[in-house]
Amino acid sequence: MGRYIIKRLLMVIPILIGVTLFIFLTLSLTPGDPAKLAMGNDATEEQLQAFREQNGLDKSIPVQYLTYMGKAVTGNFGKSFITRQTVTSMIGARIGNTLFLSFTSIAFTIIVSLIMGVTMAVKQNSLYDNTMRVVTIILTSMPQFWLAIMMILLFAVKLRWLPSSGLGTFKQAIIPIICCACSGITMCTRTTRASMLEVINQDYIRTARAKGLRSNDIIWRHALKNALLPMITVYGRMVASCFNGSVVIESIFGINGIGTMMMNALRQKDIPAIMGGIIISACVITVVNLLTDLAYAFVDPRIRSHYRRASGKKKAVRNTPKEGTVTA
Amino acid sequence: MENNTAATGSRSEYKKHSLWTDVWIRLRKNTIAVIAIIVFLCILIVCLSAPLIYDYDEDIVQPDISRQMQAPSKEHILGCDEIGRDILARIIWGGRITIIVSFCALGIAFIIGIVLGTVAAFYGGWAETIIMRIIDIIMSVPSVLLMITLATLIKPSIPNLTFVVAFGLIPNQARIIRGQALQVIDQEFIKAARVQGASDFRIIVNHILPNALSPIITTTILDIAYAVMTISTLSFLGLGVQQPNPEWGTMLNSGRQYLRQAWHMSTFPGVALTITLMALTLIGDGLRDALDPRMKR
Repeated sequence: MGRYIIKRLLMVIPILIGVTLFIFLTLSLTPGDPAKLAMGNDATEEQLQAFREQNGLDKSIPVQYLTYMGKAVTGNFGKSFITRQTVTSMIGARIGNTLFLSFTSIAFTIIVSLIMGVTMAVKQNSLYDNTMRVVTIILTSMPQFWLAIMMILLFAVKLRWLPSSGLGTFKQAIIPIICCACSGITMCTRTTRASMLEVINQDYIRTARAKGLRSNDIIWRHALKNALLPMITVYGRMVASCFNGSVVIESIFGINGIGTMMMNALRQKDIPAIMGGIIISACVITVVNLLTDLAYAFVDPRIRSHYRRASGKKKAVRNTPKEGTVTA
Repeated sequence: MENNTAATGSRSEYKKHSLWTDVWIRLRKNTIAVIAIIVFLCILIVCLSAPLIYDYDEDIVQPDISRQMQAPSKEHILGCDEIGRDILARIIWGGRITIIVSFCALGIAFIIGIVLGTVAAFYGGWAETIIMRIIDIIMSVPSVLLMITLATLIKPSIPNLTFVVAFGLIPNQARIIRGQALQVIDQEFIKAARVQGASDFRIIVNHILPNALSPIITTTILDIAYAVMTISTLSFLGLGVQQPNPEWGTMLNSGRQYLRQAWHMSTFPGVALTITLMALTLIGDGLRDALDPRMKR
């Protein structure tokens, strides 16, 4: 197990190098001069040249990339071309909002989807189950940004109950969190329901019933524990999609987070800020991937023993199902 | 040899026929999926025939200040936007743009995905390592962020949008095709074909692809939904289709600024988008159940 964790952690390094290289190349090869965008249109040629020299933009692309990575390894992500602040402090000031939005949405998603999924499975084909299935299908198909607009229209413009932007107060946070959680809730509810239905008809559940255990105990302890196993993959995907969705949600509600920072940086071709934002997001996704796989291996004794047996054999590695991998 | 090919050809055709007839019979029993298919076909037909219904210059881009933000009425069923253009006309024309872009993107992604996926599965070794690592790398950046990055850096235009959406679809396509190919690649009939002297290309096209078809079709339907969603999200953020061209996301973006004055501007394009995505999701679900009855819940 330990060897597996170390191997997976080491695999993160080439992925991060690949991601940074890819983004760096795209940034350098696409049209748009960062110096011009930073200094404005009326900057003289000398000023532009000075700016390029100061930020190392006059060197060749491989040299630029290596210099950047050399600094980044030591935790120095450089200074923004536009705001002149260090990227680390820019991210530090904003990551709180993004993490708050993502993590409250994730918690909200897990709680709501567990309750809904399990109750729907227990009352399969009842009026409640059927109504909720229709509702989840409608909500799955609703794009996040439209749901956000509709909620602002209803709760902020028509009913005037909630403010339409920001994240500071409890009232401000309600709409963004619900919008951010919505796609995850529908996805997780559907899978929880399906997974519970599969478990609920198993023999050991019948045995537990025959032994006279309380119905609630059987559902929430015996059945749920087994039904949760396939849910780990879905939770991994949900965490990634929450982090993903927060970019759009931030821009709609004017929340000052990583997503907004990236959008602004991209418009002005602020290379250090873009790279910093991408590295942070890639790290989050990679860590979530790793945790999903580890949780899978940790929870399911069959997989745990499989890894023990198969370590080092190429064939086994090739055929290992990539179920735990996040599709971001 | 000729005789032999003819025999395998007709046999595979017979098999294909029976599988798809089975799928169709099962799908037909699924009322919801059938309704979804009909709805989607209607959307396709109406949107693709937009040029026959509306004149682009007159109905779609021509402003008319006198009907500025008019609420829905008999003349303009879904109302008018901030410079007096009919919203229904723009929704239908916008759907045409979305559908054409998503199908083109899907086509590109499909071809590249098949090439990468089969090459990775078939040749293994370093080819596989390189392709799969690149896919891992692309997938480890949050997709919305990646799409936004690409769309911002290359100038927003319809061909560029197609390219960006296709780029987002390739990794998943390639991975699924590789997974399916790996399942059949060690089986006896592939070895038999190789012993007969079939070329790699022939084995891939005649034996591996047909066997990987059913999951690919389900993914393809869901990929169309993903493409539609990405196109409108990018347009909503101002990175896709640009004004005055209509697109559902673009229309929602301009409607967002007039929420207080004109609710209809930001409601109806979203309804169109949701109905399209819902139809696609339901078709995908129905197809999955029909292709693999064991999966049916």
